[in-house]
Amino acid sequence: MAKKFERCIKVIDQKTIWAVKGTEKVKFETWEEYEAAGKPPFEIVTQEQADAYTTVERFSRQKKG
Amino acid sequence: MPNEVLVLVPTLNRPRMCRRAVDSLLHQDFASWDLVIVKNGGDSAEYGKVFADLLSHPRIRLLVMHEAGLGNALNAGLSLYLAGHQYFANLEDDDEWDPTFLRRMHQEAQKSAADVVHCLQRQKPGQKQSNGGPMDVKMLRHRNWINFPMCLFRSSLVERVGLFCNEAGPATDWDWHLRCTAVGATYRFIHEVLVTHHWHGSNYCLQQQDSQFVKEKLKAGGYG
Repeated sequence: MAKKFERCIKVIDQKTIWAVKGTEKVKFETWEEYEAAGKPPFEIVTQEQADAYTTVERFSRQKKG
Repeated sequence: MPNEVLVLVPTLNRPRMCRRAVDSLLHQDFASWDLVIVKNGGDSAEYGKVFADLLSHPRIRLLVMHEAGLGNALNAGLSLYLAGHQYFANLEDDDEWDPTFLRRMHQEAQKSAADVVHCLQRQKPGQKQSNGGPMDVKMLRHRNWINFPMCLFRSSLVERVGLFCNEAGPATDWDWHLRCTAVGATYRFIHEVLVTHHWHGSNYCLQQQDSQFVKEKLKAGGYG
């Protein structure tokens, strides 16, 4: 899990919490991982809203300059 | 592009009442708002069901947090979503706004350039607290009569006053007004009843020791 994300989301009626950055989302694999991130608040979203993000294993690095 | 007013609805374990509050926002005759419902600890499943039809609404977000506390809930909403909004308002989950609330408050805020615009409330059933009235800084040191749902705040206040104080508990509004007046915030009162405060036996403001934090801070000179 990349440490820096903008916000978190969870699809209604599902357990997985996702960290979101830009157009990408990364799954919190375990509760411990979510706890280690400080248990950030998450938005309840629809499946369609969650699907609008690309699922990645880690966030891509921002290009500088 | 954010709308003009960010509305925060902190809520804990009363999704049906919270839905009533949100419905009163949906019926406003002023459209430039964004809403964040902040579920403040506990189970979120019931809230997901009650607000399922609003999850895809472009201006509404349902935020779930693990930490309890009114101040924490409001601060989470402000920290994540305030940017770009000129004003914010806190609608408690057991209260309701009249359909003209946001339009009238916004009008007065624009006209007066005040930091806070506030109005009167009605109480159902009966009357157990003040229905409101103009700000009086001296009287404010004895009690608070301006509940959050009766107010529209200019967003720039957060930079001057800071975030809400979670330790103040149900007296978070009292603490906030004391801190606002300490930095010289300007208040504009409009003599109109635009809010309904419902009494139902589990009102947050009825909790024991609800204002102890503020009273002790006042004694210690903590509000200047």
